[in-house]
Amino acid sequence: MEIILVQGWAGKTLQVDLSTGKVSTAPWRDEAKLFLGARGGNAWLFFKHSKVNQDPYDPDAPLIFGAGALAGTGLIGTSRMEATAVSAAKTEAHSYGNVGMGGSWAPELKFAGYDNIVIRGKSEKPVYLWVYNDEVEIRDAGELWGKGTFKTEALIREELDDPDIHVASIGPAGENLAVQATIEQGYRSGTPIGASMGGKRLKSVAVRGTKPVSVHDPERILELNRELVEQYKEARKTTEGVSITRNRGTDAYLQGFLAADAGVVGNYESHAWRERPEVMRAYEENYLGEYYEKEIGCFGCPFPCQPLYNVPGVGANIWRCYPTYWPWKLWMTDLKSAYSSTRMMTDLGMDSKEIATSISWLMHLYHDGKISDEDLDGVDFERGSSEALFETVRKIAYREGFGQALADGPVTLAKHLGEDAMRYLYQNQGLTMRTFEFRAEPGTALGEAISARGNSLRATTYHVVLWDKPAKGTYGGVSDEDSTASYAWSRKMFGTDKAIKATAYEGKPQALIYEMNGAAIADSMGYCATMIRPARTGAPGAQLGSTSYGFAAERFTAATGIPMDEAGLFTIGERVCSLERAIVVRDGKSRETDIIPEFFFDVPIPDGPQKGKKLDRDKFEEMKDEYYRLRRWDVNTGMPRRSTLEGLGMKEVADVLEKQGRLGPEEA
Amino acid sequence: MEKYIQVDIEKCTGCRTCEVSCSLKKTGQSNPARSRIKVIRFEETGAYHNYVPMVCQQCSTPLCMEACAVNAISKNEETGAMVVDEDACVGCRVCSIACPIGGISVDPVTEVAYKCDLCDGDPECVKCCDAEAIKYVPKDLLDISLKRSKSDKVMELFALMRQAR
Repeated sequence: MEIILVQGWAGKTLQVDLSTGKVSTAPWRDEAKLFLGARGGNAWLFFKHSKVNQDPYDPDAPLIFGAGALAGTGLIGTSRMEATAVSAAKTEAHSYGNVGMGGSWAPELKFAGYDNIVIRGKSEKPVYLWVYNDEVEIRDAGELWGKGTFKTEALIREELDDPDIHVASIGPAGENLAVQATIEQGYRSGTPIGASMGGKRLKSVAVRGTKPVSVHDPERILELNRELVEQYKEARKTTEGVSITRNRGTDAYLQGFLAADAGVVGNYESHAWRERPEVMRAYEENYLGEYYEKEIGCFGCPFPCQPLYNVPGVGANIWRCYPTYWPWKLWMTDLKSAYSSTRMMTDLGMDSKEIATSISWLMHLYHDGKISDEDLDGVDFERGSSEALFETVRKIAYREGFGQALADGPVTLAKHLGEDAMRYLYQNQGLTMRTFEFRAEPGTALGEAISARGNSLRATTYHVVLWDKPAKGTYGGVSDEDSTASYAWSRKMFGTDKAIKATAYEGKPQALIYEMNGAAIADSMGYCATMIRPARTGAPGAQLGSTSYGFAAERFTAATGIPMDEAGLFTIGERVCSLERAIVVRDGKSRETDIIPEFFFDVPIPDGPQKGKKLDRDKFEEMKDEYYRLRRWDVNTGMPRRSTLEGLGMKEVADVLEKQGRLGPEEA
Repeated sequence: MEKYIQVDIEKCTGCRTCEVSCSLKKTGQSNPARSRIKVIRFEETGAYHNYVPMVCQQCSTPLCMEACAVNAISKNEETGAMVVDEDACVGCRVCSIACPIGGISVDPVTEVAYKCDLCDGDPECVKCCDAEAIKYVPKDLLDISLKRSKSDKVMELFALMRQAR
């Protein structure tokens, strides 16, 4: 066999067919330079292995795991993995599901000698995949099926007698093909694609490796790591924001969130956080403080940012940024129930965002008298009800009662519940909306509409925007000095102050592209976004690590030996975003379906600091024009052009789109 | 002055940056399997997470040295580290049997004994331990250093007692 020497990458993809039990490997090199790994690499493999408009449960549909290009190289902050599959919540506008996670799984896969795993076929009985260096085995998971993700991991470690094995699993929700089901891995999960494992009857992918990851310049990597540790130590002495990576990451995040004036209460029913004493009290009391144990982090990162809590009688769980604000969507001040249910969702393998948003929708309907007790199996759906929370989680995971329909997605349940239910449901591409106030943040609204994957943090302007009235002092607001520096940066980067003004339309397509390409770079390198994505100067988190993508480029070169600069990375980011766009366009997405619910254009924000704001239809469409123009896609259809794809080295992609009649016409 | 690597297990977050640093420095590759320091996991996701960095403590009575039949282990008088003469070592593994804390083993690639040699007095692993779970401390300050570190707990207790009053 040809020996492929690579630095940084392992140089190999593992291919597993669960129908036949066949295991093989394929080299991975030239494409790796174009797409790096993890998110970008997976997108490429997905494009190669998937069929047009493939059913999520087609046995032949690929499920792809990938490690970031730099995962396992020893550079601090390079721990991220990606899982990619046809979305279980598949609609015409939404065929693509992907999720990125940190932890230890990706480096372990690299140490086993692989960059990616492509899983196809469907097993007759429940199995799990065991990857230990060159030994790859499809093992019986009969005993594991039905178990939670915590127990599954423990049993696999016990069965294989090695506590250093890292496991990515689905829980009962994934086994039962709920669209809300996640893949869980050491408390990490995200956008729900767990049903893709359930459909293949694949319970877990367990990895362990003892091989080296070759690197170009080990001395330089050590030096860069030392510099970063020194930088953090120094910054901690003076900057409050750095506490994000030390001690109660949660509090720092929610302070930033409060500063943003964008918190949503209920089903977009209220925004007046600060006018609600019960909300403020719950935060200020540091509600779970007495159960805080410590921070735990990802592989090879000495700045742990996952606050671990351990509540007696409930158990341990991470309680990070998202859980700090979803309880308000349920009008909940009982945050111990919120914690318990989050842990339950981690164990059952489901996405708290999807679940919380669905419950807030049902509570809204119930509150307005549009549905009755009978519609919801007699469960108490009053605002703030913890019964609604626990019961909905359980019913979705096990497909009981109304959970049977809801497990197929909120749209399916809405169809059962009638017209009002559909009207109250604000959803995008079959999944519920992430809790952003789109009416006050046009850049994020644009990202939500255009994203290849619905409800994505990968397509927001969240990291660059500055709010009109930042709450100074108490809630981590931005100082005048930081504002001035931020606007100067905005003018330099996007040609206008307004690009980073949260509520403005001007310059937003530019800012969004900067953000989206940046996310693609981080996710494909396997880099932690907090570490390498330079937010605008002065934002919480901006001072950590890098001030430009030159930071990432320099480290990429140290690990791989491939010359790289900021512009080179942005070309890669552009390529990854265009490939993902091409995949969803191939399957049916277009300008027509680059939309967000009418609600955000029609109904103004009822209260709070952003009262009265709603999206402007014409300005929104103008942003889309500008976005497609900047991407060099066809403005009328939102489809990529051949010249654009070829310019990014993806002729093959252009050929497939042409064959499908989904290629944008060239400019006259 | 001899210095040693002081381990404070309560501070370890289990990130394994020390393993990465060690392997990059000693093998030129990122390879925790060949690191001289290892973080031992006591964890069950959803229940508890404890980590113990295990590394040679450069014993006062080094059993590895006494057990070595070919005299391949000696003390570096400058740093105080027990070091392996790779040319003399025959990879018999008796040292690893003798060691009370698993501080020495045989490298899977070189097939001779490998252990922490304190990087000639400049250990790489401690440099990126932001949590200070491992520290390089002068011999005569080891005692006070550990006591100081553990006193945090006592101070917390005092604070609680004061609150209760």
